[in-house]
Amino acid sequence: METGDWPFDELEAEEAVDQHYEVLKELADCCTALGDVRLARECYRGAMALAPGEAAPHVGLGTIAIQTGRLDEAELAFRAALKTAPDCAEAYGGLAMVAQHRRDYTGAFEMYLRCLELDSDNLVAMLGLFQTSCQMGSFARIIHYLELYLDRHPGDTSVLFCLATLYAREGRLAEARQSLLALLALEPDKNEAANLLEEVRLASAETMGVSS
Amino acid sequence: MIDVVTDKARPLVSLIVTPCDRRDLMLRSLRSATAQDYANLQIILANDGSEDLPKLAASPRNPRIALVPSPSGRRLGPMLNAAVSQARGEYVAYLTGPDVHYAFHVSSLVAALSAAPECQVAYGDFYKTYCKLRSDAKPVVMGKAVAGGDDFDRMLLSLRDCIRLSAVMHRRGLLHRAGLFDESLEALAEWDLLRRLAFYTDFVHVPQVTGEFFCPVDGDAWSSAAGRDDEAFAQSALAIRAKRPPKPWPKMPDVSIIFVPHRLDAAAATIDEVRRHTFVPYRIYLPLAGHELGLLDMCALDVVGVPVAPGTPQDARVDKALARCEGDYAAVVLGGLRPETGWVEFPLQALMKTGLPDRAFVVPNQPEGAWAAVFRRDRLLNARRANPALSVRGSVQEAGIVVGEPADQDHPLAQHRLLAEARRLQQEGSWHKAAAVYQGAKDWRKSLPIQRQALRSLHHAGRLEEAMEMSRGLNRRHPTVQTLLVEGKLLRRANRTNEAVVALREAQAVLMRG
Repeated sequence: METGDWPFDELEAEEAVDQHYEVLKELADCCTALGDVRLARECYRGAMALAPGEAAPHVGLGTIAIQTGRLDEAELAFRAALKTAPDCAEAYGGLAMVAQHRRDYTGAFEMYLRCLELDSDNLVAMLGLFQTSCQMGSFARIIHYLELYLDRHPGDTSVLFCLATLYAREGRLAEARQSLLALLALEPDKNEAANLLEEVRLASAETMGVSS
Repeated sequence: MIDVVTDKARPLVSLIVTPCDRRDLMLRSLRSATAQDYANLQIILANDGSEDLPKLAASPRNPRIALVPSPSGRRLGPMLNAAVSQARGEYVAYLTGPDVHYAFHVSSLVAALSAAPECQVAYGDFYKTYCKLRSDAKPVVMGKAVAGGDDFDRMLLSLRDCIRLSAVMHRRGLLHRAGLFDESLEALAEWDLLRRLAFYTDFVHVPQVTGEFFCPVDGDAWSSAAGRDDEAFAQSALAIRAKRPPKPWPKMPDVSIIFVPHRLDAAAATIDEVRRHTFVPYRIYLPLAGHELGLLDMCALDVVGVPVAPGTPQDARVDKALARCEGDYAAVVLGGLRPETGWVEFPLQALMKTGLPDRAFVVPNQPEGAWAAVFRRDRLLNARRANPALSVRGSVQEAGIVVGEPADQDHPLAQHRLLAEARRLQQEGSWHKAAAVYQGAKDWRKSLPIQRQALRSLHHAGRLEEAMEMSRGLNRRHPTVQTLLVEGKLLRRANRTNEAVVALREAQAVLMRG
């Protein structure tokens, strides 16, 4: 007896129960991007009330707090996100940024690593890790994540350049040269890449005992 | 005497409002009735005996509401009939609490009916509003999805309760032909009335969301499904499908089922199955010997015993029954039958669609040794009269009637099957394939629900350019929360953040409406 739910009813229902939350979260993200911090906060709080089990609104509030320099508030928000979702990569990324702003590079480094373990595609974390590594002078661990990322995004020239720089600093000159050639094939006018390639060539020649 | 706000330029509409348990939601319903942008409105509130209702109706904010007492308390049928008896409008609309009408509901439907004088019923789309209850018992809107939303399908309405009474407006005079609400039904009295109206007129579909109803996501007490008695629903549905309102039926086919069983012991069970799976109006004609009819003990309105002499051959039995039939169409069932939902409607729909007079269609997938087909009754009668000595199939062939297999797309549940398949693919995460199923559907460019689901599949499949184009097209004409949300996400992804905000704010406004 066909008087019950119909496929359309079920199909519509599947997404409808999260709709208001999604609208508020998206709106908040847009407002954050546009710098309308007041409305963004309001929307994140609304989203939080609708879906207390979601980490994203906490992360959003944390991000706004960082942008406005309120690091304690940001830390609280990111920790609340982790309480809600212990595997929230963005929350670790946020905590890393908070640590970085506080010049706690060791803490930031650890948090960026955790973020990348959970989401090796997170470009912000990768660049944060790169910056932190530069501050700390330690590059070995970041290379792995950059390589993983480039496996999936071989055309990302900014990450290719970071990786080439790290290879060069670690003395892995052949790999640095290969990365830079790949980069210049994609973006022939990138002068800093061309300059670095020249430096790598010189260094290789010196290593091989060949005078330029 | 009920006061009516009159406006001679536009027809009077009687809006019948039925109460619900929760005072706050009832107030919301009533406010939506009084906030209509259509002035010539007579609002009739059916009083189920609740103490609150006279106070609500007497409120100075609701000067247009008149209370009508229900003779038998809270049963919906009597309550609606008592209110309808006071209606003086050219049109009658309904608002069953706690549903809500948007301010343009009445004016939109009046405009639709005025523009389509051949139709006597119009209906808008409604949002199904998913809610959770806060600790203070106030509902919090989680999302809104369009319920139904397709153009009028008489077969579908015959099969199931697919149009909400609150979404409907009809000419009052139609009730003189179709009758009032059936007060004897335990459930589904609203569907019963709408189904009967469809015997006499086409319905105009207004492809615009003009109201909403609540659907609690966590099974709260005020859910429309709470306390629902499934057995009462099933019994009511059977009773409704067996109904035959007064003829003539200008819009509804009548099928006479001539059943000549091989085995008498299985016939009663088959007839029960026919009842369960037939949703167009029908009558079963049983050409059997008197003692066989006695053994079957069929004393039901939907079964007509046609006494024949013992040993009468099968084809002669068909002729005897055919002489008694009054349907526009005759379904001849020889031997056994394996009915499933749509068994007779499938060949019937194929027959109704074809413009060729000398066509008939078999009922597919029948048991071995059995045969069933649907004919235009007059054509079959002529064929039998021309060649009474031949078998039914022989005479039909001799008369030049071509008996074919119906095409899949003529199945009344064809869309249902397509959706079930697409839904399975969506659940598997095969979004590309699901999109292809929707886009391959015959009427997909016309069907808004199919287009909305196609959009969802394209978005999930990562086919963003197609999804963007589709969402823009849909939102220009028929925006919904879902399509606006998708467009907002796509625009944001394309770094068109300002435009994304516009779409998302519109979605937010719809969520807050009502």
